[in-house]
Amino acid sequence: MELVWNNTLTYSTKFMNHHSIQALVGTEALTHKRETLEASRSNFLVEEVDYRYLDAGEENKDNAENGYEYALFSLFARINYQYQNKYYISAILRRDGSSRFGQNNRYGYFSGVNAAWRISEEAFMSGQGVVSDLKLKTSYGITGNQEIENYAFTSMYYTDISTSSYPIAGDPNSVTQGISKETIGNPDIKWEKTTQANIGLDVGFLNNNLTFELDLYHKYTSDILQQVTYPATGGVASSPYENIGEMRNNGFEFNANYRKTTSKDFSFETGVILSGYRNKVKKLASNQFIASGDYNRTEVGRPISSFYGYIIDGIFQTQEEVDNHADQDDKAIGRWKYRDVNGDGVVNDEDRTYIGNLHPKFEYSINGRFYYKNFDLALYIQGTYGNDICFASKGGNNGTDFWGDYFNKSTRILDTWTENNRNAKLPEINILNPNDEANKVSTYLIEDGSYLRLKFLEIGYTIPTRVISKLNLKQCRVYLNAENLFTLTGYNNMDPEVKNTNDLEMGVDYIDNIPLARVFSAEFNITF
Amino acid sequence: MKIFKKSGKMAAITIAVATLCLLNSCSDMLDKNPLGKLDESVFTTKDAINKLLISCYSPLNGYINGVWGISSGPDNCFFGDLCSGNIHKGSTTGDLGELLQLEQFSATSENDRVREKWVLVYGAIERCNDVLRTLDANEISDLSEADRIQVIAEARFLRAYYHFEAKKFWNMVPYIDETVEDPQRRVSNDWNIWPDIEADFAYAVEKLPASQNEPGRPTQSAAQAFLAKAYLFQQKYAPAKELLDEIIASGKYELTPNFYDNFNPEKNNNTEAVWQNQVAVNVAGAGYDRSQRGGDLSFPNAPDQPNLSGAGFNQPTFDLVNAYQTDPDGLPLIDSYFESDFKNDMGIESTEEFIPDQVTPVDPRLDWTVGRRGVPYHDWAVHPGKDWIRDQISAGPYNQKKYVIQKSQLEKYSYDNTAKFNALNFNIIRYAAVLLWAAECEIEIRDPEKAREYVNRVRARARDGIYVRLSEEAPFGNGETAANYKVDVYNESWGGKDKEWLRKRVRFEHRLEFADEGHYFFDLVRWDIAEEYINAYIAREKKYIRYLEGVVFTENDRYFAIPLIEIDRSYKDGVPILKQNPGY
Repeated sequence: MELVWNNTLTYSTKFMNHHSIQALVGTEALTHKRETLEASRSNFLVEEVDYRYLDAGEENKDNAENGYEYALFSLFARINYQYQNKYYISAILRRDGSSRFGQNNRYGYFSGVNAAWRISEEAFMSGQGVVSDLKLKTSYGITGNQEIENYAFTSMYYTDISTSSYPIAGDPNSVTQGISKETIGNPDIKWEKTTQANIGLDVGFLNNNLTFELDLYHKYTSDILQQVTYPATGGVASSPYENIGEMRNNGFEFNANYRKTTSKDFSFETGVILSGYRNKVKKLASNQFIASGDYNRTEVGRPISSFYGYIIDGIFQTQEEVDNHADQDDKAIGRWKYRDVNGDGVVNDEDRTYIGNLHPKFEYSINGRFYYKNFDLALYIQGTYGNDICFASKGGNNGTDFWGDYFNKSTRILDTWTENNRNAKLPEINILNPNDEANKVSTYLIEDGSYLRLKFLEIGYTIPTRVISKLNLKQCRVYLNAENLFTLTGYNNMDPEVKNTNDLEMGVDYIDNIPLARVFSAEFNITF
Repeated sequence: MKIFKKSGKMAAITIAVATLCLLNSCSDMLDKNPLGKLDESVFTTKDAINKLLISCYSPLNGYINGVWGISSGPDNCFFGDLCSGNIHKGSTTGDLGELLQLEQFSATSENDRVREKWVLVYGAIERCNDVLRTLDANEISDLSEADRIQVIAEARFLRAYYHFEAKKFWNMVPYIDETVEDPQRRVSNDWNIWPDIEADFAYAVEKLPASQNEPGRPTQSAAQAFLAKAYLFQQKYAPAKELLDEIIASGKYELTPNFYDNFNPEKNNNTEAVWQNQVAVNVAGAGYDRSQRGGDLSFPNAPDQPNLSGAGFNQPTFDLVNAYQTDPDGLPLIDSYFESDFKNDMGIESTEEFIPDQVTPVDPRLDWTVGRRGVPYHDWAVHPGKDWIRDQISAGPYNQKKYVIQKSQLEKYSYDNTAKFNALNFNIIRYAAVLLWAAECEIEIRDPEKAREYVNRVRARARDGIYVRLSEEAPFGNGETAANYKVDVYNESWGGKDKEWLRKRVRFEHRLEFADEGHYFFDLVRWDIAEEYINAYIAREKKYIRYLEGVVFTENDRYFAIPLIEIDRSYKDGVPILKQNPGY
């Protein structure tokens, strides 16, 4: 159940002909509560709908119930000023309170200013027939984020029969219930703040049939909210949310659109979006780096969630190579050569380093709509360039590229080093896993995740009115539609779009992630 | 201006009232506390504190949030026996490569089976400290001072037990108590924590009662036994002997009439149990999580017995089976047992004929420890040999037997009629160990004849208890015995024998009595004979087991690697708080 209560008071006025001001003050209160109750039984003698009441079930009486709630309260004020249609400036100030932060740091103050100058409205721009629209815009503001667990400020305990009970009385068929800590709370948790500065330019030509937009931004996020995984000494309770540090994102977005009607029969619109960002962690609260999962490390001075591991420099081909290499467990012809990064003559876990960046150099999309007589075609292409993916399933004792029993293997395992196959990428196959090659996180797991995907393609035909009017229809359109028609990529797993659930452990992909489906449909649309 | 003139007053009043209302209600509405969950404010009653203490016992069976449980339980078979020549990994060679790494002494700091033990032990320690902190921080009105001390004693006992496990495994480990303020408990591992473990056990010795209503709780004698064990691990024989003598003199424990009684769920919490891990099945909502987690994978791969069948891990070695051979006087062949192999069905199909050896004298404890062809595997069937082994060539022809319940016990002692999820308690310490420890101390510092007396008590029990028999009532009943069982006490005096001779006998007895109970590797390390013993074993066993070829045990293999990810997560101000063990 969600209840939202909004109040606003606005005041607007015009003066001295071309100046106008609007002012707004308001409040918004939101409460959200969710309760879940389940009850079940199994073993119903008869499989009929009329018999499906819980009382009639014979076994496995089971039930579960839980609930949560959160609330937000905001006060805000905004003022806008415009002069003619040329100058525009607005400012906003707000105070937001969230129930998720506990009493200590409930409220955050945020503000913003943005301004725009429609240059094309200026006197000196009138009369020239080239530029139809020219606008310069800029903004600066601080926004807040409170997307964490609902009770992050307090530790919670629970009773869980699997992990907190014990048959202390010595009865082999019953247990004594216990209580254990479920979540560690952080009473000092507070709002995450992002300061963003933007500057942008919109240009239009040919009566705005050709438009360009360029936006540059600088975002600085401080008091980043993350749930950092504690070391095992911190216990098995879920670790708390913390304000872990600061990071910066600099980026751009470029938009170009063109539309044209060549004749009464053919017209089209196309657009391209190109964007990119550069991320860097600027400060981490209590550690120099965060080793979140097995594959990622977040460290000051580097992009968040970078890949970290060993570098592989090919396979030992001759005994001489083996002898000249630094000390490495089980080094021999046919085994992977790991790089001695710190040059100390020994290959060990101090030779791990940063081996990949999951953030793309840039992302793009292309869209187009084409109309010819009664036919229409729409397409949407999307892709990334320059991002790495860590294909984790290749490794591990049961990995798809290493020998171990009872799990499916990739065909890549057919291309392992032998004397006759010296250019292989995988080392000589060995069930005993020398040097723990199967488990070491290394450049072998890191792949280029760049891709181009035809995400959407639709061809349609609108049946001419003279035909359908005989059937008393207003409009009828038939179309064929294909989603995810093809993807161009060098990446080995099924879908280069990796699902990320944890900001500190991004870009890691597994063989059991459900791939994107290719969907074909044929449809028709009738209006009566 | 115009607007104000008309309705100025009304507008002003409305704004004022609305603002006051809103500002007043806002701070209350943002007070949201968890629904249906407990927070720290509940710990003001005795009941809540007792429940918090119970959760410190939960991890004893090897199961805690986030671990599988097969390598983190109290049995420690995949460390104590896999690394000391008592068992092979089992199943097929490529199955669970991390266990193979342990058997080949090549386990890296990324080995997940080792890591799970660390996660469990420190997760449990955190819960023990949580109890102590909560007691300190709260007024618990209905908890008497005496009860409060009991809670503290049990929490400290458990904390010491878990730290003891860590010390055995990794040697240089952090000791974490309730005063550590860092919520991540990043504590360095650069000091020897034996004194801290001893202090916790000593407190328990002082405060725990002589007996407990609930057998899962430790008694004063249990604390004494652990403290003595801690001294033994430091070769401090004098203080160990003092405690062990007290336990023996108290008459509190007695060896069970039969060796098998210690592995029979119907005899859970018997007279020999000093402290057991309590397990339970058929508990609604818990599935098999409260059962014996360590044996999950170690059941024979028996397709014809679906209630028994498992993945076939934990296969006793040829070396261990040979060690049970005895001379005509029933004494172990300490220096020559490996000169002849006890007859086995290696390479023989189950359909081919095989008659087990019923002539060579052998210790009856063999067939309560090891499953082998031609001998009743409890009441399930006569072990058919190769058909119950996943890959005989990989790990030999034997199965473990100490973690198996009888088929007739499925209903009460198993989950879902599946024998591998059972309610057979594990003996963390049983009285036979107290006796053999006392024997060790006597040999080192006092009276070898007393040592002989203790060893003989254990051997006499083996001699006088039941033997595995053939017939319909197998393994019980009155039928013929399954082999020529011969075991007897040491009749000749031990006075005047040199220490090495005496040590060999006690240590051999440890192996025969406690094989596959997770101890021997840690014993070899504390006796300082690990390298010679293990390398000699490998030299013998590798003729049967191919993957042992080239395996060498060195001093650095005495302790396991601290999990790399735990070191990575222990950084504080740019420096790792935990330091890795040598050789990793």
